[in-house]
Amino acid sequence: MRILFIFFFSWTSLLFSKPDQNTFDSNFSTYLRSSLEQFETAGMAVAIIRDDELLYAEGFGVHSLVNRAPVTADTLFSMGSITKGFTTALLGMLVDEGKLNWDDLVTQYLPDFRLHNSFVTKEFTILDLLTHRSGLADHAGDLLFLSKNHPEMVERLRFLEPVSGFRAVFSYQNLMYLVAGQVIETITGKPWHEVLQERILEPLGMHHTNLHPQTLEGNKNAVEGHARVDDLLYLVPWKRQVDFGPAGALSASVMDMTRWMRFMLGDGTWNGKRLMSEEAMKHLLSYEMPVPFTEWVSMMYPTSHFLGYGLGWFSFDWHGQKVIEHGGNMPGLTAKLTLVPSEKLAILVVVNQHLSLLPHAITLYTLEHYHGIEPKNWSAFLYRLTKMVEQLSRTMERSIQAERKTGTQASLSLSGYTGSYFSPLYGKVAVSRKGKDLVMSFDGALTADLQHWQDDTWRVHWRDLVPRFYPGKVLLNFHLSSTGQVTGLDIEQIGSFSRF
Amino acid sequence: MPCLLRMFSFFLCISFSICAASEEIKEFGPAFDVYVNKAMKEWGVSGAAIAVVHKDKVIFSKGYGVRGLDDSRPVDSQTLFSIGSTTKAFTAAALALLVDEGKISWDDRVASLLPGFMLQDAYASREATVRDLLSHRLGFPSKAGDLLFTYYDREEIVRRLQYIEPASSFRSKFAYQNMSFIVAGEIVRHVTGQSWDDFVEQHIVKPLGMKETDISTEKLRVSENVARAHFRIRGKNISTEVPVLESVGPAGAMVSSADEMTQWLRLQLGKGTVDGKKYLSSAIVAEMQSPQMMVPLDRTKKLYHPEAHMLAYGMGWYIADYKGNRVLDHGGNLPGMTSTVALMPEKDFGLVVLTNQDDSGLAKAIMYRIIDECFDYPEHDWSREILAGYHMLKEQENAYRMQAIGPQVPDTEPSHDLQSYVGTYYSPLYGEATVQLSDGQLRLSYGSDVTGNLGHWHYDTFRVTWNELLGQATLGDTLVNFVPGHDGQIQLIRILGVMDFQKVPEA
Repeated sequence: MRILFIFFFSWTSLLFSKPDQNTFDSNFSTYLRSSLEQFETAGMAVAIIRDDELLYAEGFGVHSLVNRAPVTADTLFSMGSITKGFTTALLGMLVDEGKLNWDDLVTQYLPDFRLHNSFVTKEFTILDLLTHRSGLADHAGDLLFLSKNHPEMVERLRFLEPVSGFRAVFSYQNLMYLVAGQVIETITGKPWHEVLQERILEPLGMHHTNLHPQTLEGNKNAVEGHARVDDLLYLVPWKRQVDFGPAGALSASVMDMTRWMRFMLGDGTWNGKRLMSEEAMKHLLSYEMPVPFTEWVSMMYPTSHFLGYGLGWFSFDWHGQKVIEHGGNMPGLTAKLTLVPSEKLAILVVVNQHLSLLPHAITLYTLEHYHGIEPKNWSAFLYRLTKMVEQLSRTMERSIQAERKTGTQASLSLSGYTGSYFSPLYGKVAVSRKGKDLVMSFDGALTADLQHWQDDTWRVHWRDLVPRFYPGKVLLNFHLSSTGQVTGLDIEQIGSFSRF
Repeated sequence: MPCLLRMFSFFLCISFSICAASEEIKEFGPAFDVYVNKAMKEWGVSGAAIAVVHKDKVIFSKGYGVRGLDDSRPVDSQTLFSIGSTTKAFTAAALALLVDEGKISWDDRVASLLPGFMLQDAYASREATVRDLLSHRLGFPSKAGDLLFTYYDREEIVRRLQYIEPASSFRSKFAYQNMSFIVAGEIVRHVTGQSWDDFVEQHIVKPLGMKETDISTEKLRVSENVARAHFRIRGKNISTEVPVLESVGPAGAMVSSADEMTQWLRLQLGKGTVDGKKYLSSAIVAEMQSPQMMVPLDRTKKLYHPEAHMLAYGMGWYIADYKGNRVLDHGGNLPGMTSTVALMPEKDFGLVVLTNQDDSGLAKAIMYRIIDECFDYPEHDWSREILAGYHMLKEQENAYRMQAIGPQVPDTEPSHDLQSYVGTYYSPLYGEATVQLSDGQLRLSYGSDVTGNLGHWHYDTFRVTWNELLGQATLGDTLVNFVPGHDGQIQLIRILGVMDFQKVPEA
């Protein structure tokens, strides 16, 4: 961490030459193009609007390193968690119609909704669903997206144990947005995606927006995701994409998204027709939950003092103005949408690169450039940060290797470990023998080769693509009883399973 | 003493200014005095004291006006005022000292530190943490239980919290109240064996050299250079004394002067260190100064944070943005006096404004004026703007109050003879209130410090005229409704805006 900080204080001297005027001219495009190259990223699209005016819309690079079709402003990218703002907007419309209140209890709409603690279950409100304050761990249960459907995931929320007090800390949740989707479905009697189609996408004319990422397979107008993991570059085909539903399923072109940006900067009307009240609009962008201003946050937002979460949107202060934003991270794809309501300005940056800091770099660069503040070379700074994070993960891998005990043997013969294991949260893990080693089937959906690591510990090598990004090559440890029987296992970052 | 103090801080700032990143600020011109005097006139405030600290140096410290309407001696920078709820940051700092020492942690459960701590809800009783106590998120109604201060000691107040009916779900909404700070003070006592008063005195006030600063408003009755309290009742500004309520302690009982408060500002801005002595770790000071709970920018909050985009509560501090800066502030309002303490940590800048007038926006107006003046922001007449908003807000509050009271039905009689209303009435939260009859006049009393005459309003409802400042300040203009049971006898009294008190059967 210390290295990061020395770096932070010195980077400010790397100032990029100030453009003559704060318009989005060819110099601006040149900076964006060179940033894309610097980040070794295949493709990027950027759209900037002010009021109803399109200030800038441009594609850079290619769909994928394999399919070298050029990216344009009409190319489809995944918006990931930017979808959350659509889900909360639908709820806002239902609030307008008197069908829902933000402070209503979730159990009022979903009587079967259960969390680990009965008090929390009873008190949990619609607002709690949207503001990441459930007390569950950050991204708790996200692995379920790889093996379960959405209703099953919501059902399993009760098995997630809280790690902090209810409403005490900000801790990002995708599963709660699935619940929010179910509330919409219960009230309207229609699937979430149909309601979104009817109430937002159609009225706004977002005709190229997609709500089922896997159906984009073979779509010639969509980019492909790229991810660098363990120094290997993976392409993420759409058929392997995760369906995050109301928490992040939306894909669109930046041109299509400019309609949403115009709507979110407006008063809730579209072409003279009111879709949402101004009050609901204001509530979506309010400041409900403080997000800790960690060292990382202060590095990402060096001129800001606050970071908060509203309903599906983050907010922070930027040079005395309130700025709203949300990022989107899908396997192989990253996006960032930013709104400056006081100036009716919106910026969207999307790239086909996994967990990329490039959209953040371009966003901050654009904000400064637009405001006539001499822009810092955000791309250079965040690229170096990216490299350091990569270096950190290499260092971590080296230390895992270094800490591996050599010459140890498993306590039992391989057949002693085979069998079924169970967790109420994740379901069944089956361990079977394959030649001289073990193979694991995770909830019937994922498969991994187990590499004997040390003693009764194996390392998990996923055959599937997405778990290679998360949770990655975790360790699996078998528990032995005093009589030498295997009683269960636990998998790093996932949890414990008992012998079935 | 203040002179010495200033000299000392002057030497200190030489060594500090080398590393201080913040820019130079403008000096106060004569126009500032003119403005303060004008603003005091606009707000009808007779006395005020102001101090400003920048880069660890006291750059301004001065008194304005007179000590009171009935004491024409001038206010100076050493005149003592009640600092009210700005005491809360001292209470947070007292707990922070214990956190630094590893004796408690912010996320410790209150129930584990203070056996017997109980709220109405079992889950909240078990889960409430020290952090919750300092961030107004227990779910209590706003200003819940303040009446208890007039009657009970802190231990008894803590015991009675279980009878407060929550107004919102645990940790779901911000609602400013004092009760949880009493609990915080009791934690200090339980953990250290020392009362909150002695602990703050010994670990913060004394070491900082705040010699005249005191942890009780009693100090205002025994010292020479003190401001008088002023309270407006029915348009008339009355000069009086700040009530002494021992139990208020950790929520707002402290007394200080502009000069001495600069030491407190230096501690906060110095990230826990003053004159080379480390009181608190910088990490813990940063934590107290960072958002714990979002605060909705409603009309009242907007009035005093007119340019804020975001408002939050830290631990004993409000946190807002003003012209791109982070500004922490807290007001203090004990009956008869209003104060404001503010910090701009990034600018290494802090200020204190003390005034001798109840519920006044003057301190906030001067705070913004000082910031504008020092950082060369465009001149703005904050006094006039805040005063206009203040009047609108008061009118609205009054309208709500009148609406709650409702129209008087003419020509009605009480259903019973006055003697039938006499008795002792009981509420689990507040304890006993008594109604007596003497010389044909019904009197309500709650303890010895809150008494009022009951004038017939209509039917079995009476309107209260409080005899003391305390009743007026805590309960205000209110009605008392006597409710008969099915047997026709008076069964309970319902005090508008408080709660029901059941009649205690006569022995």
